[in-house]
Amino acid sequence: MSDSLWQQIMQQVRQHSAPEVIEQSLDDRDCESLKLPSISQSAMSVLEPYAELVWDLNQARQKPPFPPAYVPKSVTILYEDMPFIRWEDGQFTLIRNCPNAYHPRFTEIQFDDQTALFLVSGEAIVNRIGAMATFAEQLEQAVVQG
Amino acid sequence: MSTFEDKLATGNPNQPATDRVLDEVAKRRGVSRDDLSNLRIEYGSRGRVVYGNTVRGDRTGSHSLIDDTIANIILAAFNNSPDTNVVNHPGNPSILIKLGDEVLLREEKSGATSVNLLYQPEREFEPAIQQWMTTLSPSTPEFQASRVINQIALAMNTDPQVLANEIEIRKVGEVVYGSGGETNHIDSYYAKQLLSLLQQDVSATPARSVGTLRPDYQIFRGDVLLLETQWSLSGGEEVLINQTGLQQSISSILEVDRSAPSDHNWAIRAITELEQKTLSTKQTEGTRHTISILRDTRVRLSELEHQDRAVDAQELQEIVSEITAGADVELDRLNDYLATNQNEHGIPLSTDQICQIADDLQSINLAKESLAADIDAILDQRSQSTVQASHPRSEPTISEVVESAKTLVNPLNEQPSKLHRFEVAGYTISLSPEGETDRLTIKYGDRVLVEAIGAQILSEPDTPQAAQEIQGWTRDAAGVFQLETRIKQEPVPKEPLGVNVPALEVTQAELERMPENSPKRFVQSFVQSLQTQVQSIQSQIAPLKTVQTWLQAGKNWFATRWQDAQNYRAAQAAHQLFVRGYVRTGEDRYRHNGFAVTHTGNNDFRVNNPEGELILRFRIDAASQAIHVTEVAAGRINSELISTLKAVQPLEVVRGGDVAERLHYVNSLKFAAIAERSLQLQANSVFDGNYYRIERNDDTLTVTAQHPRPELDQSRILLTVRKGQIVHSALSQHDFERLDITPQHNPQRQSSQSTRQRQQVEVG
Repeated sequence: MSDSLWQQIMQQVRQHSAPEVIEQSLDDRDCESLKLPSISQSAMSVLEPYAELVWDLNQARQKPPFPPAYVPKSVTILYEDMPFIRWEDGQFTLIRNCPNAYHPRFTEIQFDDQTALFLVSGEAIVNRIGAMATFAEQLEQAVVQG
Repeated sequence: MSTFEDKLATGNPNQPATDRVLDEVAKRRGVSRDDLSNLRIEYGSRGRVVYGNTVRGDRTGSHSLIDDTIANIILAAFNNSPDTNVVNHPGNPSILIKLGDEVLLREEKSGATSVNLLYQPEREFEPAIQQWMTTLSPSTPEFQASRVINQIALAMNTDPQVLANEIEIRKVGEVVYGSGGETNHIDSYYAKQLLSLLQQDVSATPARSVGTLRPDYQIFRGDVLLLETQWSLSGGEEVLINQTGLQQSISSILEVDRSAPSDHNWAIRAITELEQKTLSTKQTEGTRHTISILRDTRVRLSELEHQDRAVDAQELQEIVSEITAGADVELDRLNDYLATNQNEHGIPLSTDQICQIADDLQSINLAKESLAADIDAILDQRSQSTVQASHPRSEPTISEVVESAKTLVNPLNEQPSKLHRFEVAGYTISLSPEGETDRLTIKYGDRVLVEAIGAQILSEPDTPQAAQEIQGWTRDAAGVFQLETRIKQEPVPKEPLGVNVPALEVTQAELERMPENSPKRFVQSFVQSLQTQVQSIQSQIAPLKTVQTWLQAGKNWFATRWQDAQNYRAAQAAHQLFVRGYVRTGEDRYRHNGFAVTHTGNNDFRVNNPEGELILRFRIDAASQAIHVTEVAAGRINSELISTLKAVQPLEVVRGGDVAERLHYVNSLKFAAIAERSLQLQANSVFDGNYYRIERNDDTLTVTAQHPRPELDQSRILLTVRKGQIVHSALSQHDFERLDITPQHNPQRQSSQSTRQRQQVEVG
């Protein structure tokens, strides 16, 4: 897909008030993927140059949450889609040097390589950890640390 | 003509950062910027093209997307040493740099670097060499030779300056480069051909070079022949030996391998390792033949891989024996020479040639033996690791899988009031109310793998593979203890962590911007635990201490939460056990499978193990009936314990003390008598009342509850009497009170006025 086509589509996305669907075929990718309802304009403008990412995010947004007692084997923290920290089976396999005063445009936390939380300036674009978080709080109230 | 490079040069704010990357690539490859026209750089876990052609063939436009941050990260990756043992991570790598079809660098998402042709172990050339290189004009033989030598040095992880003095290049037997560059006739044509040949794999079916065709190019390093080519009969250059090219092909195989099932990876890696091992030995006809055996094996495996077929151990052995049969033919040929003292053209052999053939025979034989031994060792290792990896415990039954999945989605064992749906790695697990119990469905995509209502399994995975898939991750939640075992294996950090804390601080700052909610607190808590882990590692200097801290810190977060849930479930199971006993006999202490649950007053409960040790204390909130675990003996609560506490069959009762049981028996007999009388009054064999259903079938009287009772699980059978003997009685104290069967000897229960008439009314 050329840049200009992508821009045209994103333009349409902006013009359509969410959550309308743009019915237009786009290569082999479902155009539904361009729909990111209830996302702020500012977050949308941050994400619009990242075609692959927007497609992935939309997939992730449609998925049910992780089960409450889910224990991921790996956790990856990505800034602007680049893995910076990876924690696997309780140990770090990657901690990348970070530029000073780095303010990534977006941050993602993946559990077992699946998007768990995706943030643009603190706005959660994907949040699949609700059940896990609620369960963690329930447990905190129910269990005195042994 | 306007080139991509020209476009880049015009008004792109990212130009300086892009230049830094391109210059470094050119420098490390020993090529000019012009040679990088096919360079493509993918950056990030979604494979975003930041420079060069996109997958669809477009350019990234007239601008590069490499800004300073991206440039720094890419340049830093150049310095990571490649590890060919790395199994390529599924999905996109974090950084992929390709020149045409050649992968120059591939950094996996796991942080490991599987391919890095830009890696220079010595980092920088000597200043004198750098100076020398910068003064060279592209048209000089020095520059052209340096291109070739740099390529070899990169492929062999060798210092090019040293290599320049050791290399001798021959063309049709004549030295075109040697004596540290004193002889140098390498022109741009030779350089181009050599650079291309160096990147080629050895011909899969080489024509015999002995006594048939003369070598075309030869590159020696001292006595070792690094590259040898010949003009093949079909025309064109054919590579017979290429140590550097083989390295290249190994990289490309690993690259091809990234999405292949692990079996292929394993087999190909095993063979590749053997190839590398053989390569490091002296090059003779024999080793050359051995390499050819191994290469043929690898090619066969690759073919199978492309056919999307897994290779099992037996198949690998078959392939190897088939290919080593080729070695036997070669052995026969050489033996024939020795026997007849002349070669295939009938020319008598010299003493030197006879010695050489004897050496080759020995070498091929040794290689064959060594190959057989190595393959056996690999297969042993493989079968052991397979056993360890896939059978850490006995295979769970489908009921256990259902139980694991329920624990995962409903860890506090609450009765679902609505449909709950969760997803992990393509598996959807749904739990919804179904009558008095629940319905669990596990799907992969649209395919239903498991369906169960309560304990009843309606649908099982149709293939063992599907069952394996489910087990693979439903066990994850219960597999934290395996995880702890793994942590103990190699807890060594990949790189020093001294300067890396900022990476976590960035996450913390980003989380701060989230609105206050439970997901925010959840991730903050986890990231804080990572921060503590890093800091504690940094504060430890002695490696052993570091390992310990690493271990402890590693267990901290998810494992702790999982253990908390286990503790909760143990308390829940103990409480259910207690309730089950208490409703029957109304005591304060019950034993089951060796464990004792005691109510110590004030809704405080203790659980002791068969050895009498206190392993768990919990409290029940009087108002909400919520369980609060107040004390846990470290390391004592596990899945087995919970299973033991829960192991009460539907018709099994939790028995009280002897006195209480005797009293319960008498009361049950009284209850049976009343039930029997009620049937007689109705003159029927079945009687349905408000609370009970009474049935007589020949000599058996059965009383079942009309309403479900939580303490009885799904069974409703309260009483079975056969031939006047109580066979089973789950009747509660409340049942006795209802019929005013006065338990005079039980001071905890208040008796009331009783009349037979009232009893019948209550039964009804």
